[in-house]
Amino acid sequence: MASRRRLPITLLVAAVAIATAASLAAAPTQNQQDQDIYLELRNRAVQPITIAVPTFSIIRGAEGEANMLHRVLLADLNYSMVFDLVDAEFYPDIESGDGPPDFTAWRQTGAEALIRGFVRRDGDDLIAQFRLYDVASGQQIIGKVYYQEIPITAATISNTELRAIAHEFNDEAVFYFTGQYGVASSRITYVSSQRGPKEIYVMDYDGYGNQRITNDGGLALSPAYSPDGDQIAYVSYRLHNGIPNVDIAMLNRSGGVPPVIIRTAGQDSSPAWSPDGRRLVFSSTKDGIDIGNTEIYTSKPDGSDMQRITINSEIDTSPTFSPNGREIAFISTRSGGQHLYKISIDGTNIRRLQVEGTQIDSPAWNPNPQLSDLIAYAASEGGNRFQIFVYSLSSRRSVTVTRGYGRADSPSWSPDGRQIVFEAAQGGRTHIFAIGLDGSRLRQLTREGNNQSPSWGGR
Amino acid sequence: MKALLQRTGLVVLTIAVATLAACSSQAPPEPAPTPPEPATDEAPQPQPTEEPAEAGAFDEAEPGSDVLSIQEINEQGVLKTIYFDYDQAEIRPDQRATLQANAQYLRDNSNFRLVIAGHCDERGTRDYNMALGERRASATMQYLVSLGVPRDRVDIISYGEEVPAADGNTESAWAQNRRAQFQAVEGNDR
Repeated sequence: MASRRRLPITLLVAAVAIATAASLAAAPTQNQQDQDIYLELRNRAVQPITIAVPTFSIIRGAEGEANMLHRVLLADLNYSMVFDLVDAEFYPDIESGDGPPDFTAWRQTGAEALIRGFVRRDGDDLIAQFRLYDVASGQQIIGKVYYQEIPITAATISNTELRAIAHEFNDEAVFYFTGQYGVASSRITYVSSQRGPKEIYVMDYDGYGNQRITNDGGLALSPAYSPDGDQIAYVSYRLHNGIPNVDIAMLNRSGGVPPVIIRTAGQDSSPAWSPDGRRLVFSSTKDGIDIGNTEIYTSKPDGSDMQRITINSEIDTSPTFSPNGREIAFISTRSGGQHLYKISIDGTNIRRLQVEGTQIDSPAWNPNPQLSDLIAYAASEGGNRFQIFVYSLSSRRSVTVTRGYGRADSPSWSPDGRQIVFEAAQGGRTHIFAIGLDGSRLRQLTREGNNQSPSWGGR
Repeated sequence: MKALLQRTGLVVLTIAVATLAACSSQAPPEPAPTPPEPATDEAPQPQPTEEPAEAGAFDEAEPGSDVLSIQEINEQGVLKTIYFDYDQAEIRPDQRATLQANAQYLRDNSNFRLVIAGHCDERGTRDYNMALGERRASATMQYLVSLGVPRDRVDIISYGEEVPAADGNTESAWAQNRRAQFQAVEGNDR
């Protein structure tokens, strides 16, 4: 893995001041301690790189494509939590041409990095070229050219293909600075009633290209994307011998009727993956059917090698794996009320985590090993007002990431652990939203119907 | 050194927050009257494959008695829904009469299996509500078993908050959704 290369920071003081201002924007009524936590979260994700992306040069009539590519790339860079965008208002007034950038002028905007794009048509192809520069040294770091054939029957390439080009370059830029590919090419699975009964859907990480992927005709819930993005485990209510049975089924990228992989005499639900993709963790009533008692179990992704983790007559549910796969965080009512616990996968070392909020539910352990002390969860801050919180195991502090919702629930981390997708009630409907781990960059991803239970998958 | 950043700040959305729910410390709500049909526009109650009753089942009935088919049992709402307090899975005293009547019907009519489905109102969070629905379904099953219904004639299932009977964020809707519903299905004692 490439080591992370940092551009020389010439504006350290200004950068800290600006980050503080940003965290104030995220938390306008918090006290200084919480502001420090937001700033710390922001910088732990990565020390942000200040970047400028002027409008792309258009050669030979590809204006619409160039504008869309520019828009999508800007959004990707912003959401990535790796870059801080220089406001276009402060871009130098320079002719955009094919010659080298005026680095002296760009340095004065505070930009550490610069991206220029060149978009043109050439015969049957759309050609998009991007260059990433280190502003301080004036060196080009990355140069990428994307060719996409325009179908004979179409005026230009599809929006899906255009967006994919921008996503791809963002991911390359993030890789250069962090050693990890960006997540703009990743997808989110979720439950939606936008076209009838609740079924499983997938969409791009930014909400585009949504499509239904189950056709169970009844109820499909609680999807969990595998880390490699090739499979989705979900809770199926398909009939078994004429009786609705609640099992865990598996959707595969190749399609086909999703086979049931976990079917016990009890109700099996709440599946989640280990970050290495080798184990599933889920809850089941199979050893406590008569008292409706849910316990936590793990298995291989094909349902074999089932192992029991919790032994307790109270509710144990909503499990999530640690990044190293050796611990599980979950919800239990064993001490009265809904609380957050963690346990080793051999069933020992149960520890309750003292987090803020009440009625704790839906924990999600950050999958990035560098952020492995962070657990997101949903909790009430009074009455039916549920927010998404982030708890740090090392500092033992919690902060709210969301504000102003009636009910936020079901958080899920991006593969790099810098962003969170969640559901929240808004205007009588429930929709999927995404946000940076410090509470910045909130955006709504779904528009129609009711949408819930998102899970963020890999590339 | 004028690095001024464009940043997408956190947008504070002012949402009309639903009327806060009654806590469980309040008096339990009055039992709802005959509940409406489950909402069908968004999340229709899954129905098992409908099959006509076996001819043999009718032969077992007393001549002239009114034996309903499985479909009729469900469509006519013969087995009545029972209701729960907020965040509780205990059988309320005012629900016992309904359960006794359901148990009586099960004793008098052996031509079907029973599925008890536990449900929750929309408050709280999804995963917990799924587990709470399990508790409600199993508590209901245990009560019926104590009234003589064979354990192996009953299946239990939870829908959590996913299939409400009544839409809306009012006390009335919530009370109608905290329920255990009864469904007759094909088959008999296993």
